[in-house]
Amino acid sequence: MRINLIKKSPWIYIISSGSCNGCEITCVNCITPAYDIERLGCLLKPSPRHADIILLTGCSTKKGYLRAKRVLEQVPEKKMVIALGACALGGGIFMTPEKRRFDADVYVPGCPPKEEAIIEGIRKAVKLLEKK
Amino acid sequence: MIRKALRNIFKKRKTCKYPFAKPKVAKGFRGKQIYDRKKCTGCKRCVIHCPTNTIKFLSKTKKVKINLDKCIFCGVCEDVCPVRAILFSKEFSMASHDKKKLYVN
Repeated sequence: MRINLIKKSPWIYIISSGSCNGCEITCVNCITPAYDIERLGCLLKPSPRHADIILLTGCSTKKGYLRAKRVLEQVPEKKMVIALGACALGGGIFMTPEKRRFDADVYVPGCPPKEEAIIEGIRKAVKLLEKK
Repeated sequence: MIRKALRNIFKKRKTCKYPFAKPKVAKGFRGKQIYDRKKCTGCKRCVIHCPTNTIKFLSKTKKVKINLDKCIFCGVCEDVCPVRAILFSKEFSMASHDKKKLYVN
């Protein structure tokens, strides 16, 4: 029954556009045995060209914005962008101006977001991917 | 080594099966805020003390609106409020498709 729930196994890539490294640590916590994300079919990938879901973290700094934008363009279509943390959503404590922020499909607030909240965000993104 | 292996087989699993089971939340966890509109007096203290300027003051109704997209859940607004109108709950699941839904009113 539970196996039937998984229709698509997305591959995940993390982009950090200059964050404090708090969100990345919670992302890595999701792969550990405590919150095993691979039981939902997800897999972390080292290349953006293999990815379906992108976890975007960090307030985009002047230089980090250009790099993150270039990496986002390399991801093939039918992609889902999840904005993680207060910095990627609305600037956070670094108060990023609005022109340097990215549009995302799913927003996960928190500083950093709890591991369960990230799993829930990924589940919502997978549901959107199936509709596309 | 066989003893350890046997002991580990009969141990409880440590994996948190989140979407199918309820997770454990720590004692002092600060999640989504609960805002009591009737208690709020409109003293603007939380607006002044917020480190990220997320709390907006609505001058028409003299009430407060908290945007969750900037909030870092530091807990200052709860400490500073004289009538305890803002309280932190243990709800952590706030992920949404729409950015405009992310506020406490």
